[in-house]
Amino acid sequence: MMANDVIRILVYVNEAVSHEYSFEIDIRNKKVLPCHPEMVKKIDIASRCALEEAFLVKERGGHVEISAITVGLPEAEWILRTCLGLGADKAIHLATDQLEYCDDYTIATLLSEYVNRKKADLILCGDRTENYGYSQIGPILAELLGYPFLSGIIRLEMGKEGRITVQRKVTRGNRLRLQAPLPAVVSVNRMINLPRYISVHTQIKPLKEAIAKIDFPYKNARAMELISVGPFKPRAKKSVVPSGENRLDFLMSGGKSSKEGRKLLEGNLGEACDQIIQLLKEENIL
Amino acid sequence: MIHAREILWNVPHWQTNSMYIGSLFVLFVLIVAFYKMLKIWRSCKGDWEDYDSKDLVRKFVNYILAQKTVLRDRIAGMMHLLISIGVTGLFLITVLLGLEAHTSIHFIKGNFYIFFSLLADLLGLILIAGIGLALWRRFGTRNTKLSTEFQDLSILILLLVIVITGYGIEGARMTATAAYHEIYSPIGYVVAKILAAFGPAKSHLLNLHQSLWVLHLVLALTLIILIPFTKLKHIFTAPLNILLSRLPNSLPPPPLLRNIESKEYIGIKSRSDFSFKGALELDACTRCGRCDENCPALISNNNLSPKILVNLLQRALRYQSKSVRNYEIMQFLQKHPCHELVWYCATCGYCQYHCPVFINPLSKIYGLRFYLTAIGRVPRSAAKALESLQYLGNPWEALPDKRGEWFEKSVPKKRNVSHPEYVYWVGCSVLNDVRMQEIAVSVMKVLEAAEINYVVLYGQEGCCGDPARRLGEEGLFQRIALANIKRLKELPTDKIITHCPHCAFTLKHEYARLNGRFDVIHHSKLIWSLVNQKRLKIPKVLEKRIVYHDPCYLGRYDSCYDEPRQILNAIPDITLLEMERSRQKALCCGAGGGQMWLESGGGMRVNYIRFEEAQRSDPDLIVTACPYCNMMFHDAAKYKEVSDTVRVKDLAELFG
Repeated sequence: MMANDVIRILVYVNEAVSHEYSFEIDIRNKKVLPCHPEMVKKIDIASRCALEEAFLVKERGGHVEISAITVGLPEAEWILRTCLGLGADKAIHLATDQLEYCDDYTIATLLSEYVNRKKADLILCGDRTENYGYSQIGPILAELLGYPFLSGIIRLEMGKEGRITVQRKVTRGNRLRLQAPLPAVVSVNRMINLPRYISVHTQIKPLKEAIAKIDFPYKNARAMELISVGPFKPRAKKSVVPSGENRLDFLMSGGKSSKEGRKLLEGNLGEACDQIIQLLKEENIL
Repeated sequence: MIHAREILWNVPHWQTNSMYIGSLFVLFVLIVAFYKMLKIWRSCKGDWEDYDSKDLVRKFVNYILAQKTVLRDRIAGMMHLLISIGVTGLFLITVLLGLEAHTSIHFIKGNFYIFFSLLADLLGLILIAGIGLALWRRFGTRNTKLSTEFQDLSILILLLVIVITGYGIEGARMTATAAYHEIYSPIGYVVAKILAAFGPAKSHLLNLHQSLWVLHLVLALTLIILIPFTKLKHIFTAPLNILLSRLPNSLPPPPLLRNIESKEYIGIKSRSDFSFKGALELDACTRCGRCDENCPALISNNNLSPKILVNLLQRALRYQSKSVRNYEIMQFLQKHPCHELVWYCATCGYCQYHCPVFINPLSKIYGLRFYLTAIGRVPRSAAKALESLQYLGNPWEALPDKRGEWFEKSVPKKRNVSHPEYVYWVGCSVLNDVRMQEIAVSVMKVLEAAEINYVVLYGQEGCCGDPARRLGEEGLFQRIALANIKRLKELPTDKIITHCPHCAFTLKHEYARLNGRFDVIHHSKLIWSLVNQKRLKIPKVLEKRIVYHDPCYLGRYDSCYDEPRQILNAIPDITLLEMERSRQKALCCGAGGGQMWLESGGGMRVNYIRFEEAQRSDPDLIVTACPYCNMMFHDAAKYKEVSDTVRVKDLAELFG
């Protein structure tokens, strides 16, 4: 990437379901329906932060082209419409009709196939989602593309000669500064910025650029199938009251549980991961 | 003896020729300057300002000739009246003298000459009196709303010197021609006597006359040439603006933006987004400062003045940037601290109501808000309220189910009336505060006591959209409004009662522009009519000294000042007190215009200032008829730690 080239930023955006509304469970048809029909869809807040950061990079100067991308059903196009209204230069919809419930690996794989064809210098996404907790899309995508991955970023600066400098929060107000070459995948934390308000006019105004819809019939989709919905089955929980002796042992051991069947992993992060994978294989989970 | 005189006596040809050439030059400059002004106005293509070209004769007579709105301020009005009579009269005198000098019609003679001379002297005196009053207002009083610039002082001094040189010319002529019989020109006579006392030679008198004549001519032409470049242009722009404005009975809502889904942006982004009327208004301002007098933003923060904002916008219209073609108005405004007024305005309407030439600063603020909100540049706290309104149906971040629960618990009995007389629009404030719920319950008790058939919408009722509209979120407002109109039209009655003046104004005036025409009644008017019809008993209250606060959206916007006072006056054994600023001059509580969700700009909060004003009349009870005002006064009472001694209630709570 040359110094004066356009920097292509790809921002992954996804929808969030508002938890403030109560839902009706349709068990027979396996549907989860919002009680209030006027419930408004919204873009996941971390995605909004990622998109906002892309806009801020553009506003600070430099030649930047911002593309918003999402994966999913046709109904997902409203997100891209909003992103174009906010100021994104392009919008891409990787349409996957057959996948109603995608896991992060499938989404990351689809994104990686797109990036391999169309190229992107910087890929931004949120580090977590409102509905499903921590998002694995960023690290999986980076691994599939072979790009450096920077997670939980709270500050991003475009440097010279195709490098970016980021900051990550550590404890007690301290910051970790990292630098990486482009292309790279960055997952942003919500602390990175305050995304701008999305007005109704932004969502409905005429588009300068059409949404590029790409059908991605992903044959090896690791799709999840929704098999049932229903109320949570209450289970009686046994309350265990530890004896005084057990409690003393617990305290004296520095908080380590003395129960059988537990194993404390030792070693560095890589070694611990290897041990976990081994355990999962032994338990026939992997 | 025939009373007359030679017009242009002792004026050599070169001076009269200079007068003609000078006048032609001044006329040329005026035409070019006003043409450029008109060109700027016509380049403003926005179509969302309200015009009203009806009642032209009434407007001309009442507001231009009689200067009714100018005279609302007695001293300033008198000052303006004296100056305008003096200047207009002396200008007409000069025109008549010109006709006498350059036509074959000679009419300034005999008794008419006597009357003419006396009138000219009196008009000069009137003008001097007006100038004296103006100078006293600026320098002899602590008038904080006036800010004196070079042009303000120089125009007054220029006028004064023109009048004095006019008297000097008259006196020199009378002395040189020994016309001491012209005592019907009293000031000229006095000046002549003074000059004669010095015993000057005739040649000196002739020179003095010529010099004063030249000076008088130069100063007069200078004054005329300054008209389009100073606030003197209001001589033309203010009457034109008055003729094209609505009559100031009550304040209209801001115009509706149509077809927003087909527009790349909405509101005021650049110069061309102003309308012709909006641009004309900006040029009609004379910086009289009446808009500043009770502006809540200015009172709480000295940087924020509607007067300065209007003048900044006037300069923004004329700003030409070679590097940026369609520069944004906000980019220009952001160089000045006053740009924050865009977000600190409480839309109380004081500036619009009290402007003597019908300038509407509010429409400009709305225009800027529409643009900024649409592109997402809205303060964070307001953005949270708007997001809550988008996703939850109310600006208080309250769960929608909470409304339904409250209704189930609080509405007296299930209202399934088949032929209701009214719909009671409860409003969204009940989701925020228990106090607001108490007010709604009191209103329902009043309706039950008067045996009125009414329905409520229960969980179907959302926000009326007022916060969205005031914060500039036009798309959201229209979405909410259209949904509410559809719901309300399904009901068997179109009469709506509400206890919130903001809801009342929105439902009545804003919805009407979206084809939702409803007969909306504020609860204060309904209660008064029920009391009059003896369907409601006058309550007894424990508090003896009661002061009433006029809500902006009930008072200035709806001209409802008397009904709440009549209700309070009907209560036995109480004393109804008035605050220093009440009725049309009432100070806003500081919550309107979306301020409930915006951080204040520093300085003393307006609700504390208003509460202190109420406290000065030593009341036991502050009564208001608006939930926003109620919340603000409650906050202030807690802040001042007088909640136990000074209570705050809604009008309905006195009955229910």
